[in-house]
Amino acid sequence: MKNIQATLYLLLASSFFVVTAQAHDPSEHTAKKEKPKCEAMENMDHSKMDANDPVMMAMMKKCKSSGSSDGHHAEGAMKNSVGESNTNKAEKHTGGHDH
Amino acid sequence: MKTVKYLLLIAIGVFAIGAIYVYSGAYPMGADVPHNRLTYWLLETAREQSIERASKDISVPPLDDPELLLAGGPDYNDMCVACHLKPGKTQSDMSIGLYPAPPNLSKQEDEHGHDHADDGHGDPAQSARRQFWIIKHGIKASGMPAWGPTHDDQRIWAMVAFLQKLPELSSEQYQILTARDETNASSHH
Repeated sequence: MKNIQATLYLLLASSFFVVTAQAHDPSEHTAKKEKPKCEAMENMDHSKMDANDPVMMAMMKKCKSSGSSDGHHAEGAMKNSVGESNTNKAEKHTGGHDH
Repeated sequence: MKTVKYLLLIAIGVFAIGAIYVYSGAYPMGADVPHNRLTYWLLETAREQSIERASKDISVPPLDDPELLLAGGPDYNDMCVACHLKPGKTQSDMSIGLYPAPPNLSKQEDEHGHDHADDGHGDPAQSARRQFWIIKHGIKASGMPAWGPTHDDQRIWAMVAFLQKLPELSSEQYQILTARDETNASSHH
């Protein structure tokens, strides 16, 4: 009987340590699952976005890795906007000078 | 010799009055009653001087890696947002109820809403060092826990990297960077 009690106490104590050790394990946070709302990227002002900005790069990466098709749309829109802005810059450049 | 005696008596008197005051329980300890100016100044100055001294030799790694933002964002959202808020949120039960009030980290340092002796204004490296130290060690009697015992330095630097960008983020950008969906939770940690 004493052995059973001792085993129970031991099990209780060890389970406490296991819970403590996992208290801040990143997997703990998976309970708070939330999909990134990548469609919001389409509504952002792409002309003000910098493709080399770490925030922008991180958002692209996040939307790509989340498997969201919105991420690909947003990425396409971003590339187009960068392409457009480069074209605009070139047009402005040639318009301002005679080469 | 007389002067020394007087000074000693004055010192003993001040100490005795202080001790009587402390033991009388007259000082209001509720978080809903602000400190008097002297106590506030003493605590604030001691805190800022201590953090500056303790953090001065910390070397700051490059914080521009997008991966750091992706790792730090969800952690911030899970562990800090209740007190330190996020874009589009100006107050919470914790931000209202805690004393001293936690700074709103979604705003620039000069808009936090309380005074700092020196929180790295104009010096991103000093600001990063300060944030790293505070996250790792916490601050006594302020509600700010020490995350160091349960989070390694790399994970704390990721939070610092996110904090450096947080005041510039819109609520949409914040949502994307901090969402911890299944795929990201397993791939970034």
